[in-house]
Amino acid sequence: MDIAEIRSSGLLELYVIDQLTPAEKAEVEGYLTSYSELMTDIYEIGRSLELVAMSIAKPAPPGLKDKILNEIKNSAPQGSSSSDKVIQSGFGALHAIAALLGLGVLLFGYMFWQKNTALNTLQGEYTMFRDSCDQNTTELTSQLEILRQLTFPDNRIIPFQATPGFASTDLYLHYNAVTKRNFIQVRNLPSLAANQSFQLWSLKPDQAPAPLTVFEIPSNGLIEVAFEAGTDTYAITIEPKGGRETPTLENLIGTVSVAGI
Amino acid sequence: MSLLYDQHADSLFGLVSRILGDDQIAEDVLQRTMLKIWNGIDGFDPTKASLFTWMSVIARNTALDQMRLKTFQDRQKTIQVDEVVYKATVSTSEGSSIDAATLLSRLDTNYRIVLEYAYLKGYTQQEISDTLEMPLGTVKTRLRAAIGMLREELKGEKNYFLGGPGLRNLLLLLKWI
Repeated sequence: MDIAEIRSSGLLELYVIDQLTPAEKAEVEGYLTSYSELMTDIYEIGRSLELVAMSIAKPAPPGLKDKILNEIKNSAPQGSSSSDKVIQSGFGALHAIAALLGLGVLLFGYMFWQKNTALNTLQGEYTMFRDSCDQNTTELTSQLEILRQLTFPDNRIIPFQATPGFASTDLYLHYNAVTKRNFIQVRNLPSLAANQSFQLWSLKPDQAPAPLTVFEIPSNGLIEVAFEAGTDTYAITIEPKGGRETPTLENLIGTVSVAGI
Repeated sequence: MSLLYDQHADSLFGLVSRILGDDQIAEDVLQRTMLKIWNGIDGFDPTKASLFTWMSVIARNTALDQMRLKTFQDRQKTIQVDEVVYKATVSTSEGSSIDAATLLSRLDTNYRIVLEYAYLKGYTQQEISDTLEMPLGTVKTRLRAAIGMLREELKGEKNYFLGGPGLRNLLLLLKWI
């Protein structure tokens, strides 16, 4: 089916309502992979149904939230289980060693060496996991800060207008004139050659475009970019890696106006 | 979870309450729904559906599973489509208001009924056809048209959406915290 036939088939609506057979569902998901623009349809259909749901919303029963949060806390895995296993393992090892004493000091020494090696291995793994957790904490704290920025009441989400040569570009600017911070949310960007980067530009009336952030496709779909006071329009071009002082206009992929916001 | 609950619990409660017609059971279903959402958040794929769509599918399926219990079947039959009372306005996540009642009231009753049977009662198109004694083709056309009309009304309201891999990462972050 081509994209028009998919849209008119009614499959997308039933996909969102979850009334397709597994085979039909897989078929639709295949279409979503082939035609990324269908995601807009999926979101619009979902939004329409969300509106229906919101229109019949009722205040959830008081106390339910606490009940759910408590249940989540109580069902969280206990942190002591691994250490318990170590203790149990050590305790079992003591029994084994006691039995082995009867067989000779040499064998005991061998067992001790083996356990000691295992302990060192565990300590090494513990250190590795702790470092990994520390690193994750740092990264997640940074993402939490981004989340806070994105949920400020003054935050505005404005779609970039793709230029005809780069029609598949699909970006949103999260613009906050109060905190003076900008984030770009990437849904789709043109492919870059190895020696190219994207570059953000600030356009002001009667002024040359001012070069701003140079960036690659962010792995998590979100990147903070420069905020330039007084900007009328932000634009993005593809430039040589490292960026340029003047934009390559034939590589203009999209613009977004923030005038009057 | 606290953020997800504050944002969506009322809509999901309205949805399951509407399906079940019993607030007390709906409370239990909402609790199970929220736990399923929390425990299954790794399975949320923003490239396939919006967050609310994903959550509402879980809520609807949990409610429909409950409704399929024999004790619920008779009760459900007593609920009529025209009992639905739409709120005058609803708030979006950005704090702006949409006049939902007006938007929905613009739908022809024939279209709205099909939408409600499909979305709020979990009927398949064939079941709607049988229940309303309407040709299957008409059901399909009206369902698609009803959603299409709402989509048209919502055109331009594009800033509601935060999707992409970033959203999933943020949800996993919130779960981790």
